[in-house]
Amino acid sequence: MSDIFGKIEAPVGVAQYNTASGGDIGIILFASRMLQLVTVGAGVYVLINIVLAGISLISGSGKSDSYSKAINQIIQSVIGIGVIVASYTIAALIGLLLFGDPLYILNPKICGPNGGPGC
Amino acid sequence: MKINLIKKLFTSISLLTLLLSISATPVFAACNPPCAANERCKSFPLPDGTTKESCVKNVPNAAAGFNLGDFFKLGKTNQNVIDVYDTPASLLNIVVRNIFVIAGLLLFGTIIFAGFKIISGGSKGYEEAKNIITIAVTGFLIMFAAYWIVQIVEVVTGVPILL
Repeated sequence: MSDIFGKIEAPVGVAQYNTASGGDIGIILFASRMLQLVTVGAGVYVLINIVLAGISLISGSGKSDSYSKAINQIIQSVIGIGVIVASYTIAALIGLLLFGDPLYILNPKICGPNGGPGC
Repeated sequence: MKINLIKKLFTSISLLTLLLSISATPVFAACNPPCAANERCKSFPLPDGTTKESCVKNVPNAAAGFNLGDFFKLGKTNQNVIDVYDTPASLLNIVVRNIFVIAGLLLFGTIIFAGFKIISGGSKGYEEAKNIITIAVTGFLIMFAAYWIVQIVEVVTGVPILL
């Protein structure tokens, strides 16, 4: 069959991800790169949020409501980045508790009748 | 009715046999000097009624069968089509390679358009622009992931898809 129709090559970026993940399906590597990007974006956002909160602390001139607002903003930002960082641990914990393997969610395997990558 | 049909069938079969028998059996002319391996001897009728034998290149050997791709040239080059496009996939590969360039340009244009909408449209334009960018980026991601999706389908179902 493939003698007749030939073989379709992966597009450039897709092929690079496939080779980077060891000849397997590169979508998991792509997803983890996207997660990294989101984490970095969230970190930058938290930094900006804390700087803005600090500015409102300085310029609030001691008013109690602006003070509590700024403190709340900082606390929420820190909690948010904490959840993002802890999400890997949470995923590993869920994988360990429910499936008996901490990497069950973090390093998913695609299985079929003839095996599959990492299967 | 039935007799008519049988008559027609009989007539056509006998006519076909007759035509086959009277059609000239291919007689290959003998050239002097003998032709090379990739050449065939052919006789050409001349205006004065006689024939002239000469060697012709690239004449398909009807008995051995021949490959159409060997006889189509690419443009004005001397390259055979079969050497460049040996399967349908090689044509599709070119389409896949170039469709990402087109899609990237379209994505770029769409994002610029959405930014223009934010500038010109106020809060309503912001909503529209958000929708446009979301749809465009999702579409591009689906395009990018299409190969992987098919690969995953291949692994999960076990059907050998041509990737």
